[in-house]
Amino acid sequence: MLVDTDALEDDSAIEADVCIVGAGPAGLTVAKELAAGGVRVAVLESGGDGVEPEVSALADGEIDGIAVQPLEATRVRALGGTSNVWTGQCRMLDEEDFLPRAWVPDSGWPFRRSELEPYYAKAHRIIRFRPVDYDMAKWSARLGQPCLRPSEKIAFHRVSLCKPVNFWSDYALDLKAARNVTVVTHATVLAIRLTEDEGAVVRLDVGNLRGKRLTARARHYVLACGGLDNARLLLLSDDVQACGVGNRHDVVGRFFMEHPRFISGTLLLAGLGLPARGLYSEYYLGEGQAIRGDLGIVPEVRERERIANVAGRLEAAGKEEYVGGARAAVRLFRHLRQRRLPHDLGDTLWQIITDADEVAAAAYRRFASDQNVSTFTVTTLIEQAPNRESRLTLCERTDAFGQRRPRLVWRFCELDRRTAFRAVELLAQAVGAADIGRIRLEVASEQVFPPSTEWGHHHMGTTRMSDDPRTGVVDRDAKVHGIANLFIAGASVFPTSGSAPPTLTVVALAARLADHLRRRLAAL
Amino acid sequence: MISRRYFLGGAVGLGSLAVLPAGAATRPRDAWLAAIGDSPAVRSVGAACLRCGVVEADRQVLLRSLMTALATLAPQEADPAAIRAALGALRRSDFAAGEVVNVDGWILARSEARAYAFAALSAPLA
Repeated sequence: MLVDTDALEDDSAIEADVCIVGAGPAGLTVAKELAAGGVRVAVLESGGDGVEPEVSALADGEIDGIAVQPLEATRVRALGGTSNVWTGQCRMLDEEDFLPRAWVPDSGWPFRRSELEPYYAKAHRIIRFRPVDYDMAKWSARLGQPCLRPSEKIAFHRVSLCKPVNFWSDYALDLKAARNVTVVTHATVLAIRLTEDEGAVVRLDVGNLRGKRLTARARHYVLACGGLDNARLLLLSDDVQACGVGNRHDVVGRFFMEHPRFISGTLLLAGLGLPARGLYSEYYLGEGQAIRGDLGIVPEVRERERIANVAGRLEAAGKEEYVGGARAAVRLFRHLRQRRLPHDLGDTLWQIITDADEVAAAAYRRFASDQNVSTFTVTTLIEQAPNRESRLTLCERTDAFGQRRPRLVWRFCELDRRTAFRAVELLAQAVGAADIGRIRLEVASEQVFPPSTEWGHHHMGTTRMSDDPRTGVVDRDAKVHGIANLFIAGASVFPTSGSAPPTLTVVALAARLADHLRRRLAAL
Repeated sequence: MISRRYFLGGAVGLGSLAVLPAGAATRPRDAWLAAIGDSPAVRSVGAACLRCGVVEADRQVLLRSLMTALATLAPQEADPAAIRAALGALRRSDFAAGEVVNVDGWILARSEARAYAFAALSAPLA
């Protein structure tokens, strides 16, 4: 059932077994999995069906550090959440990403990847990508497309599976039809209210921008409103626990991580080069699916060099970046491949029309010049190391509800800088050792990060997972330490981020959390 | 600054790109120069290696370093193809071991930088 807060009585109470805050990939996966088990679920979404400027503005805040984009531009408060703009890139975290690494402070998950693998399998089914295959050599043989052969002692191939799924439009029919699921739109959670003994959540206070106030009560609560707002909501709820819910050890909001990426080198290939639209671009497979190959550095070398995880992306020179209308055209094209229209179709078309010359030039580069090329731009995406000083706090400015806005202090450490520089040097060694070509560096060691740095809109780590409440906000079951019935879903629980796009892991963790909640409810 | 054109022109030992001159060289120096590649592109890269100060600026020292590193090669070897194959193996081994230098941003194996510098400091083949 889908209902808007405008249709509900003022001061009415929403009741369910599980109340989920946020209708993005994490929240909707938990809802879908629980709904199949007959659990009564309420999903509270701050936005509606489509982006609304006044709702988006609620996510605005301040940035101290590299301010790449306004915060509100990195979130989507609407049904489907960030899957409305997701490019669909899926890859599992590496096994090593789950392990503690002596040279990466505060690294390691409470469990190994094997714990998550059944849920990765489920996540692949949810994404509906077929066949699930992360082996570059097999894709190369299957598609008859060449791939590089860098030195295996230094580098290896990774494959990302690309299939943009809109978690709302793809699941809306199921969830709307489910009698045990209520999705409430324009329902912004304003506070988490605890019992007197501070041991459990007793209710959520909810409001909409037209002044309506409600409450939501459930046996269990799941925060799934993104890597910034999960932490912000805990910090805002400071009436009983002065530092915010679950924040006795001052960990909430800390350890913020992103996936900074930047142009790090130019690869000049020997021989005949590679197809410009080969396996290193998004190679379209049909049925809305594509794959893309990246280069990684082997774990033993990363350990020896004491660097974090990285992904090296190759784009035929001149094809690496779409801006303005061209970017909008690419997004429209991706939607059309899925036989869908973007939620902001009018804006998208307007951008394309007003930037027609750039769109035409980009289209020519993309489609009319698909010969082999020898020059590729190397873009490095790094795993940002966990860092207590990189954090989300609250600032004095307030939003339309009078709530304090977020302030993001995005900080890098020496390990991040070393990773950024050494990674491309190591890739240069890998291609040189195999006589593939040479790489020219576009980064200098003394630079913090080059001007071309972008972020991936991957907000991670602010409610990190650890068995020790002094170093984590949630435990291995994603339950907030010290609060019996409050759970968190999303990339904010990642203790380390690896170099993989986070959504597949977010969906896998959400499916795992749904299993856990089902077991808890059954035991009651 | 080394131009991309010179790299594409075969300077940077990209294996199959460089072409050996016809006929065997008669002197060891000529054999080495023929193996490395006696072209403006090679000399340009060699000059950049010298300018960046990442290799020795002495032709004899450079040649001795290369010959010492190529322990498998006979001291009087005069076949450019054999020298070239040995240099290629040394170059790959340098890359794998991290024996690299930065020349105007390009990451080169130390041995290939020495080879190009040697070519830059040598008189052209007759």
